[in-house]
Amino acid sequence: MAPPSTTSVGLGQILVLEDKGCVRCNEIGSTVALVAYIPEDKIGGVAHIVLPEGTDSGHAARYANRAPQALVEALCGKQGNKQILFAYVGGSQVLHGQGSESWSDLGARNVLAIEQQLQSMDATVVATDTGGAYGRSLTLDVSTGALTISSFTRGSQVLCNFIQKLEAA
Amino acid sequence: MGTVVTLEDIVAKTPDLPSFPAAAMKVLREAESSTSNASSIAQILAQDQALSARVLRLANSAYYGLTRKVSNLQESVVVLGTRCVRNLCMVAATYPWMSRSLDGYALGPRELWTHSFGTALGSQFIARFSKKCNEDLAFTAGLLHDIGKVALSVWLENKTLSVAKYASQADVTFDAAEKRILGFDHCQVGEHLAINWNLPEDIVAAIRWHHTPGAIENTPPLVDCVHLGIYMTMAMGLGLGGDGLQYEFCPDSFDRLGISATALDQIADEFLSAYAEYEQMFHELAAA
Repeated sequence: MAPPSTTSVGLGQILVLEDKGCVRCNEIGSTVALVAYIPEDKIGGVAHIVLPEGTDSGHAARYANRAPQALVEALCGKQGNKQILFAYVGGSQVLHGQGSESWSDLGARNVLAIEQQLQSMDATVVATDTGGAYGRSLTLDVSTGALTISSFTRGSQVLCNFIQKLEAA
Repeated sequence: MGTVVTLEDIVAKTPDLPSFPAAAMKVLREAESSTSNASSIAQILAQDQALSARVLRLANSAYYGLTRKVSNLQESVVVLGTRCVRNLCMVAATYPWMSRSLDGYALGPRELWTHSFGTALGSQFIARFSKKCNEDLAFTAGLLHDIGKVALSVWLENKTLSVAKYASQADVTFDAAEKRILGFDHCQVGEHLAINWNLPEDIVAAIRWHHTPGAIENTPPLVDCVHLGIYMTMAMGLGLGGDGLQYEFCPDSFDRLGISATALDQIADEFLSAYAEYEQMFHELAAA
């Protein structure tokens, strides 16, 4: 059987797929890949968030204060009122070393802003993998609901399976 | 391959070591000269047909939005300006070898290019914001900062994962790990290569100290700009290889350039818009 086709989501972009295919987010540094999935309908999407906040509505996916809502709208444009599960990955610490404590790291600020936004939406978060001083990549297989993360030094692992999470709940 | 290698070995024994086109070097120097003009830049460029063709393709791209096609080099310098053409020239000269894979750093095709071009643009934006150094010079220094990796890659092949793991376990940076294992790091190799290429001194310094700006006395603003350009590129995950985020960043660079965390977010936002537009354009045109 041929492997599922993979589409990459770029910085500050949202990509939603339905039923089949994989969404890939490469090289996540301080940025955060926010994943949303509707297990019932096998619809999933990723927003590649870059900054904690911003006002440019033309680039909603770029900002943590706007991207979660934009991702939900992109998903629900395809389906109605179904349960959406979330996961987020990234927010690596880039600024480290002597004297860096006085600086608020971009990765940590991104993660905090996303957490606050998801809380305000009463969102169900099923998995996270954040922080650390290494880059990551992420792949969401829309047909199986499997979310896989990988990094150069830590290899590859399945972070969660959205369909199994819903069944277990 | 043994571990006792000298910087001279790297330059003498590395296969497919990139060369910097002589015409590009002359343009780099001529653009800084007070006597340069469109004609003198065009004459130098014309000495290298392949380079000239790439520069003209870039000049005629949609990004610059020229109302009519530029058909000769002198016209391109007049319309776009000396410094802009110099940057196009640097991009055209480096793209062929920067877009190759670097197995020693676990960088796939185009990944070094992505990182280098991102750093060039980031350094330029930082320089523009800080007003502490010439932004076009920052672009060139950012573009060339990792040339040492191109030479060192072959010596690190099959060792990258162990170097990265060693750095992680010993809690040292990747460049420090390179130094402990090989005796020198990619910044030193880059400096050696840059001197061999006869690059200007300020660019050589930026290549040498881009990961350790605090280690040079009276840190030149150009070194700080490139350091922060790398910070921005790494934060956005552009062209992260096996060395990933295993580098230290020097908060003093922010202070010296007068850049706050809030300002950095604003610069990053503007950078992102420009990066998306530029990067794809340069890739398509330079690769043609």
